[in-house]
Amino acid sequence: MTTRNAVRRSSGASVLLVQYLVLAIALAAALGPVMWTLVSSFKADHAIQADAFSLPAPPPLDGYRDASARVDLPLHLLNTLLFASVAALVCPTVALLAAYPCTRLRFPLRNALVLAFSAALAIPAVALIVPEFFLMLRTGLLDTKIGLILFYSTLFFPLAFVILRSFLLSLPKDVEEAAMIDGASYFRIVFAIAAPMLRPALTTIAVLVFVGVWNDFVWNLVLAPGFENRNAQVVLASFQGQFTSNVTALLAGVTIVLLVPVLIFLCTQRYAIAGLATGARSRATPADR
Amino acid sequence: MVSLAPGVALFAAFFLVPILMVLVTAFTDWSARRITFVGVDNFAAILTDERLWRSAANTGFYILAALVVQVPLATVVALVLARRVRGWKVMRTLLFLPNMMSGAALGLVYVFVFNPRFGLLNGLLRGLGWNELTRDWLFDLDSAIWAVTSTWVFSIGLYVILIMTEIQSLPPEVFEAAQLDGAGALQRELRITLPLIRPVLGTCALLAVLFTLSYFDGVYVMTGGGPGDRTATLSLYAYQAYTDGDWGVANAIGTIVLVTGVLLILLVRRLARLEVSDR
Repeated sequence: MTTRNAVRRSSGASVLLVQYLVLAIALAAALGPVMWTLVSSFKADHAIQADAFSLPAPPPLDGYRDASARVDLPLHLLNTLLFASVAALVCPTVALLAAYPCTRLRFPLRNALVLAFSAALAIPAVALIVPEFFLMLRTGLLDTKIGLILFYSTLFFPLAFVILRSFLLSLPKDVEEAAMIDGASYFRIVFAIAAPMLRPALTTIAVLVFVGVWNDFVWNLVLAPGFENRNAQVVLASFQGQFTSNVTALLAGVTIVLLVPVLIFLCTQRYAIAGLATGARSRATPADR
Repeated sequence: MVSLAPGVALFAAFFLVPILMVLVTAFTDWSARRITFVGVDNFAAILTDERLWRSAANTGFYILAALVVQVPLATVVALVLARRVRGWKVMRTLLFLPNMMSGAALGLVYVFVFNPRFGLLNGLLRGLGWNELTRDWLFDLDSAIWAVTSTWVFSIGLYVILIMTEIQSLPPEVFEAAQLDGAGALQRELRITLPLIRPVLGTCALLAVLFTLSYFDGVYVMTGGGPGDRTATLSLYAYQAYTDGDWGVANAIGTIVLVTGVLLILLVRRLARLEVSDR
């Protein structure tokens, strides 16, 4: 009996060891290079080029100073922040205004509309580069802040719509119906009654949109061909060659670009993880509901 | 109902019209100034262009890597984390962080990780005394596509979260019954858990196909498709046709990407039997 328990315990320990080994390898592969970048961004350029594993020595902030001076990084970070935060406000609003009637009201073509919005989730948007560029050019919106904001707000509209609709379907209609009988206006019902109940979903969407727009590369590359409206990563990537003698500055810029969405996620993950599951599930089977 | 207007207008402007334009202008010779109908000439031209076949083969390689390495790895990690081993919540968060990061900025990180002179990888190999293994990872014909793939294939956090959520929502009775029948731990995972989470595995496969089919940022930043198109993707090929001013050709490639996307999604849904999902 005792031997059997001992055997079981030792096999339990080895299972545990294997489990932690799997986790450690996955973690090292996923985050090791990023940690290395973070550390290197505080090192001097010659120190990086001499020894990949040396630790930062003072002065540690040269890279951050040079990144600001060389490519005007603050300007482009501000652009990125502007696009991401405005889209994170506009997109959930527009999506709520569309998802509410598509869930609660009956009208002709409703199902066709729901199908179209949901199916757009499965479109590899990168295939649409030429018409997006052309339409922006023709409407005078190319390389303007307003044009980029409109585009970014729409880019994540299908995802926001689908998430909101699936949340709305799971909510009871009683309160809204009672409010309607009391004579509350349509917009009052949407904003004062439905929106507060949907707060977790709306927060998740705002986070997803912010992060998605912050991380965008290809659309800023195509729709902001000038210098003024470029976002931070397009600037860093297109001036890659200029950093050969100052790797620290590039890594400093990269570190900022990488860490902002991480911080936002860490602050909101209570909502975000639950919302993500719903979002991805509805993305896979958009037309089923 | 009036409130639908902004959504419909934006959707029409940035999704519906562009999609129709791509499908129609794929049959034209189009540059910024002129547009003429040319029938299937664009398709004839790209189908005989070996760059299309190389980009398609690479894209296929990336999709396969996502399906054969990324999703299975995520499944194993999710199975481990779902047993609520010590620290599972922190692990889950840490594993998800790369999914929150900019693909382009991560690309720049890996440009330095793979730098032949002072990069992390060659530094590690030299430190271990394996000098003969060092190489210019991203621009060596043999290693380029493996190096590019390795930059995202370990980003498993999203899939881990999705699979874990599904495992944790399974009724505990199933596992208790299995335990009474004397099923071992491994057997339990293989025979009971995996079949039960098939729908979410299908979802992950589908997302993986979608993400890799439009893979662009990382390749653009790290290699620009090189060396010799060894890492180029279909979307990069389309982008290059666009910057060359061959808009009709770019849209023909775009059409191929759109159609491939729809077909692959239908296939994955079919294989994972997602349409009869038992949620």
